[in-house]
Amino acid sequence: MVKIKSKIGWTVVIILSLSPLVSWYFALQPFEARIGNSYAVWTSLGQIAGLVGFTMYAIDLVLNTRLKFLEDYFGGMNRVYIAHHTLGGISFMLLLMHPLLLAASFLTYSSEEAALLFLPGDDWARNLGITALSLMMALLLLTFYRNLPYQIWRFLHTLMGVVFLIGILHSFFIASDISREPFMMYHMLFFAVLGVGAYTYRTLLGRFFVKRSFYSLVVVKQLNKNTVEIILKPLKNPFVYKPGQFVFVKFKNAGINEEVHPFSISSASTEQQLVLTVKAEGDYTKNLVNLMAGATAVMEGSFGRFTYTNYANTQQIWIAGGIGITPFVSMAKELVSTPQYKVDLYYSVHDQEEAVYLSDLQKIAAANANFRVIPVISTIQGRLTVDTIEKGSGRLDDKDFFLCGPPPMMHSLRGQLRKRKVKSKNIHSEEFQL
Amino acid sequence: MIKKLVTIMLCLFWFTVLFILVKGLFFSAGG
Repeated sequence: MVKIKSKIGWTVVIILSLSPLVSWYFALQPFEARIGNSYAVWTSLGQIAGLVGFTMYAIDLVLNTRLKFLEDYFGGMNRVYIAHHTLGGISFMLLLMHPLLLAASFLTYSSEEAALLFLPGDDWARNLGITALSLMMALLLLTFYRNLPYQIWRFLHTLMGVVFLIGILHSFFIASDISREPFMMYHMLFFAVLGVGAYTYRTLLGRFFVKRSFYSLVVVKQLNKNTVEIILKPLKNPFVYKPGQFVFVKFKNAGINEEVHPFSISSASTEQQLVLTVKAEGDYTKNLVNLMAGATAVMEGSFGRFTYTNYANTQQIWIAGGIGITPFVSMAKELVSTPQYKVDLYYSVHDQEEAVYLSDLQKIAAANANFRVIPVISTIQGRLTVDTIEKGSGRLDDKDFFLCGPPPMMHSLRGQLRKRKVKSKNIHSEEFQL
Repeated sequence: MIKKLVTIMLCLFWFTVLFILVKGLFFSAGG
């Protein structure tokens, strides 16, 4: 049921994105006139690219709101962000196609007219279109391809909403079916309002609308040379979380940049203190060891659907790779309150030093007959394979699998499990691509 | 994946725009 529901998100996105085709079909001119000759065909394709691209842009702004209901329909906030990234890319490509296809229609009678389409002129609504597309390209080039400082990246990404506003002015004031046909105008107005509403909620007035929790930093513990545990205590509006979830965190006045990052929770939901475990990979995460005790952590959460109790099958195999152990640590601590679950955890690490939670997990396993930890040290035992899991845990097709680790490892194990007839609905994974 | 597609699309966009501009402004019948 959870899996089926998580597919609905993309279905709704596709239906909504293509909905302008309906109002376009019923617009003023008869359909036959819109495909009657090559000029009409190119014009129609250009219009459709613009309408669908605009609609996708509006939906993309909604996906960026981090509203919790979205998680149910995409299978977790991490997947919502993957959808946001993909939809943004498709929208951008369609909006690039929009003037190209219109220029193609002009080319059928005048190459000069086609060329003038790309240059500013007397039509201010068209100039706004050129402005929006140029800005969008510039912002996308900078944010996609340049490794910018976080604050600049965030500011530039914020400007994508301004591009949308300029796009609205272009769409509604240029001589087109939107300005001529009321039904289409209201249809597109709906998406314009949706996009502006989402942008206002998240970006312009986020500080008033978005619920945030405040925690105080107790201590930062270094677990190995590149992994730290951040221990926090609640100050105001503590959030409720399930094991395996993650939060967006920003540290204020803490001696490091005030950036927002998603971090996995490694404490049990019943603990007084909140523990986040982070692998130092970038400039920001490497600086986390310098966090000062007493600093305030502003949190938004909790997010994610990677929780074992979300699934009814009590026979489970958990597979962790490296820092991917974090959500499983949180879940393992809670197993004692759900004795019906029987779990084997395969903890794959490069070497012994990377196995930062092995002794903690072995202690939990020693006290719980339904929980086993099987460490797999790849430099000694080789890579973890489904053969190893089958030898250790028996038949596979009656179990649910939880994967969290480096993407190539998850991809490989998912493929191996599918070859062994494990159903896709029984394989759950956590991708960190926010 | 989507980044690669966007990159290809951007290259195609600029190539086509430049082609249309050059053809329309310098090689059209009236230009």
